[in-house]
Amino acid sequence: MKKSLILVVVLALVLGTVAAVSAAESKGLIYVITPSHANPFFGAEAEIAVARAEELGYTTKSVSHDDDANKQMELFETAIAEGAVAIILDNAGADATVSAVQKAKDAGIPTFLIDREISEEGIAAAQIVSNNYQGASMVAEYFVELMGEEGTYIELTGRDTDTNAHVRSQGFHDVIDEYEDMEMIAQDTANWDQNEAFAKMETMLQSHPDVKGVICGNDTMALGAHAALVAAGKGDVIVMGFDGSDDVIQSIRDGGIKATGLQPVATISIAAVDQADYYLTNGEFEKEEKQSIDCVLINAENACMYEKFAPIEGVTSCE
Amino acid sequence: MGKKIKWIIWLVVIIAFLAWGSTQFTVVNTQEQAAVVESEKFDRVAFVDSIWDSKLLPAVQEDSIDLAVVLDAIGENLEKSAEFAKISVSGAYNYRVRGTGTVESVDVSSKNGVATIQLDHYDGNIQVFLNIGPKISGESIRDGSGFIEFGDFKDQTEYGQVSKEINKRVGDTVFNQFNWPEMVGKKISFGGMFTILTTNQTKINLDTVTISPVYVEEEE
Repeated sequence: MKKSLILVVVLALVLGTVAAVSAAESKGLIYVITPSHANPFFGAEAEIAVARAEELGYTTKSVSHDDDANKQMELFETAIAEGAVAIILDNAGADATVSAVQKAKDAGIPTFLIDREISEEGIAAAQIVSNNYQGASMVAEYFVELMGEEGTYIELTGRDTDTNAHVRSQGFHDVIDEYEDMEMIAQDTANWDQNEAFAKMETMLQSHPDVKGVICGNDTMALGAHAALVAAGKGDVIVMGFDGSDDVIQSIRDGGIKATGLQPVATISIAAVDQADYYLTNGEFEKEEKQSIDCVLINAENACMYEKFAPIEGVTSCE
Repeated sequence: MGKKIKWIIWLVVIIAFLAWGSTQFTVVNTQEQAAVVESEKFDRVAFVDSIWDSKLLPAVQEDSIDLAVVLDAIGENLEKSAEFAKISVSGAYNYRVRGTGTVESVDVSSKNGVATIQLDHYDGNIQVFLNIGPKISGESIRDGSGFIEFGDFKDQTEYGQVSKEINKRVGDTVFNQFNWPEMVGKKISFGGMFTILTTNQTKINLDTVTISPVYVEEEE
């Protein structure tokens, strides 16, 4: 009994010392919580946030909630228990996330949201998001232009539970529906997924072999749809995506996919960490809570100038 | 003694498990949420009605800057023109301007009709285009208005739809106001907004500006 008690005390002392030492070395622990890094978009945003935080002298932990609100809540509790000083979050659902962010706030930990909004204000320290609606409208305007303002098209939408799937679809339609000669002949979700988009496109081509354009809620679905079209000998169908991933930028450069909306991932991740640092240093918020950053249209004219969701410094022409 | 310790350890484990379990589940009533969203559906037409005559038109007619002055500043460099711009959180420079000039050419082959304008009192190199509808792209009017802010709306969709509604009104009005191909060579006055994008742009376009008009009038 005595021996085990001594062991517990010694262990506690050792752990306490380790924690104290790591706290002294860094400005604190920043948790970066995002959806699965299997999607390069989320991998990039997490990587950029981590790099910026470490550059500013913080230790970091980068974890994924896999779009599961319960898992997200567990991760928040872990972050609170581990004494995180701030959380950078790309959330797992606009409504379901509110309670997790509130819990962190109650524990004195500010959450800086990136990429996706939540449905309430005054809980998160900041909501810095790509303007998905603006980006989708912009892609749709270019889609209509390349389609010559007429013809049949298919829309592949994202995962139904994801707010951005709806925002982008709305952005597409608020533009395209104003052109009476543009006709949507099919619309289906491919759940942001490349393989599913391939399979759905293959099936849709059976009933719509003459489709002129395909507009997709993200880049992975655009890649899947385009691959199915190429396999069917219809590589000239106008395909557009959304995100600005390196794979789609390469496809645009190769004359495959025609355009995408580049999300300002790097800009947003860096801004979130910088604003967290500002708050932790000055005790007040640097900017208003809701910040919406515009997307950029990427097409054959400028695709060579971008990689990793950001402009390549010094490249100003694709000729 | 040994039994008592085992018993205490079990108790601690059970309490810890219960405490952990209580945090794992949250109940979300999606039907209720859907009902709330539906009842609060944003009326973009009513919103634009409420600002059009009272705020938007006066902002352009009375509180805008001579386009020639702005273009001279941009011609020197973008920063020089910053005092005339409303710079968005995205780093876009939005200008609220008015001017007079002669219609040089008109292209209505697309629904995004465009007129080129020879601006009075300006001899710089920046080419001036005027959106004449019936479709108007972009968010220049909203973002250059100076009083329509993202934070005032529920989400991006509402904020975006305000811009779409403004553009729709402008596009319908301006396009139907004249037989545009017949306007070539005629003098007009106009007020409106334009935008120069900077964030994540590899090359900032300072060679042309495209005005989304709020009003266009034929000069006698």
